[in-house]
Amino acid sequence: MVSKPSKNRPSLSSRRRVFFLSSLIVLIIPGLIFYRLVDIQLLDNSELIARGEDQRVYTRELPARRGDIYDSNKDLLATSLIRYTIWADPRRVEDPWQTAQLLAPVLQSSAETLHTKLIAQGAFSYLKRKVSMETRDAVLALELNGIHSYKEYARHYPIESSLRSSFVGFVGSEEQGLGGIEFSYNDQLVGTPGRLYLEGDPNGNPIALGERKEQPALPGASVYLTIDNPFQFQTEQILLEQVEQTSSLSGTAIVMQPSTGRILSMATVVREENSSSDESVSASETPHSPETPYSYVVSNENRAVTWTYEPGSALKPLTFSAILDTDTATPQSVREVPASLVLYDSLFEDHDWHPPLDMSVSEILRISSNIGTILWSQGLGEELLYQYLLRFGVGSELLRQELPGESVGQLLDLNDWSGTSIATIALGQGVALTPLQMLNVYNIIANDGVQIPPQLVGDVISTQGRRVGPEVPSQSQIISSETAREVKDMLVNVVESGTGKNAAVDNYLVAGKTGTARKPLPTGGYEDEDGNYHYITTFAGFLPADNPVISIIVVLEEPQNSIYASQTSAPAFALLAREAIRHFHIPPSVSVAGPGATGQ
Amino acid sequence: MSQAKAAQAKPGQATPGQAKPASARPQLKSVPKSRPRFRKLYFVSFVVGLIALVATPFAIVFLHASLLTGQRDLDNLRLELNEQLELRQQLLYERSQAASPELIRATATEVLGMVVAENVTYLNSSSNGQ
Repeated sequence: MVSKPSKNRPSLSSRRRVFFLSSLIVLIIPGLIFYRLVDIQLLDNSELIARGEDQRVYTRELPARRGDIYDSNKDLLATSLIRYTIWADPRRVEDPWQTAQLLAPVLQSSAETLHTKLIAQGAFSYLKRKVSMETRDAVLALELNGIHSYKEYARHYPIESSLRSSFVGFVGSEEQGLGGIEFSYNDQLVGTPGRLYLEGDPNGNPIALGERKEQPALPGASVYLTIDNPFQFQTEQILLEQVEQTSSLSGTAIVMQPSTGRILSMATVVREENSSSDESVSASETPHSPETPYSYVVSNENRAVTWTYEPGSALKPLTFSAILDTDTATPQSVREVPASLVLYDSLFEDHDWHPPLDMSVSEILRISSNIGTILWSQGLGEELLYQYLLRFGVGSELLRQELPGESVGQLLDLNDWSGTSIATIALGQGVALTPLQMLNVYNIIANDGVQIPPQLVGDVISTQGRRVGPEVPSQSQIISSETAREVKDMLVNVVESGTGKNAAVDNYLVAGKTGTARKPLPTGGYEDEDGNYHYITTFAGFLPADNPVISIIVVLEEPQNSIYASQTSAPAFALLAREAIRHFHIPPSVSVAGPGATGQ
Repeated sequence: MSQAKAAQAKPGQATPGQAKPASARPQLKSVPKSRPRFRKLYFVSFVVGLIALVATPFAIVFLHASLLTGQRDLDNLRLELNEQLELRQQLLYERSQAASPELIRATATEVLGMVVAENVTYLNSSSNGQ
């Protein structure tokens, strides 16, 4: 009954093989799948994790608020306020033309312009940047598909004046500093953007219970200027009046606190040709009748640091500081001074002719004798004069790049000096300084020979309230305190009985010096084709001389009422000094004021 | 051995060989003191465990919800703080605008019709008011 094994039937061993192979396949395939799963899930999962995160975790940059800029009274000069940018995803806008028509009145833009943006290629198109919250709300209330908004900061300047354009500067569309303090302190002002990590759906909407990590933005530091805005305004107004009264081409004034180097105000006024088409007159312009061919405006250019000029006799205190400091002479040293002097075929003269006179150094400075100054500077020598010019800051930046565009002035290298250079440079010709460099010379004398570098930025304060700058500039002794006091006394004489009488202020000891210099022409030389000279007048000084609180310089370019500093810049100095006394409550000099005196 | 068995017999149970009493008085047996306690403890533990098992997810959900609510409140407060700070900044900005000498002068001359004085007179107490 045992059936014969069929020839077609596989043998036991082959069946076993089939079973074995089938089992093997059945085991291998899931095994491979399992291995792959382990590999994907556990062993080599970093890439997939990253891909997964990319798909569900969204990173948003949180903009950092740019720091504020304040004046010395802590009044805002520049700040960043929240504004909104309206943007469109053109792929999701259903009816671009109707959408544009609805948005046009809200965004105060033409429907055609908006339509062009709404049919643009891509997923993002700006419609309007930095609009107010009200406008944003009005746009979103329209409930238009594909129209979105996001928050960003916009720079605002509460005071639109020369102060803004001269010092504060401006920023670009992405809030980067492009001029003034905004530029030079950009690194401190700009904050550190934060980041927000959100788990979201494919449309980017956050998942309620999803991951959320926030790295908050760090706002930028605030910059506090040394400028006093109300006093800056007064300085501008006084300078505007004086430039107009003297019919000058331009005027520059700086008021500083010599003991700290703080610049309290710095103004430039220029004469501008009236154009018939330009009907706009700013508040800082002086009123003129329509037939007046020019008007005076407070300039946006900060000439106090960008413009150089030959200061003339205003530089003589530097020359005499060097003469006294090197013991070449004392204030009482006397020598015979002729009215004129020929040096290498060049004729030098005093302003008023006089017979040869015995004059003391103090007298020479009092009447601003050119010949006396030349004679003593020859005794000093070229090399020492050059060294003292450098020590007083001529030819170097004073503001340490606080303001872009600061000029270093012009001082010939000693090797390039000609035979007459010592004479001309000692008189303040053939050397060019910025008004700030010129005032710095007087500050050194006011500070008993110590140079305290000028500063326009008082403090940079971080959001944590920590002072992070600027570095306190190092002080250096330029001349001995004894020399400085001697020069100071000589400068008091200049105002009391010399060329600077018009700069006097009742009840205050004023130390200062006039400077009337020929203006070099762009074509070279000083004499124009009609044989005329053009002048720049300067008065620089400080008060009270016995305890200096403020120093002032006034520079007028080509005044027309008089060519002399004593009649142009000196009265302007006195006006500014009186305003400064009132504004900063400066007590009168003890040695000249009567009981109860409070100033003019 | 039987003695031992008798000793091991439970209280109240008739020992082998003993006849049952005729009357149907309920047979009282003494229970070891520890047993019900253990049972009760087991029961309590069971109930507590069950409650804990059921309650833990709820508690976790509740805690999570509380955290989320707290986070949302914190976010709202932070948002409100930011809004208030922005409002403060806006007001500071407006104050600086209003206090600017340029605006004061423009308001005085253009709105109030004031004119700039030709000469400024500074009072001097040493001049006896003259």
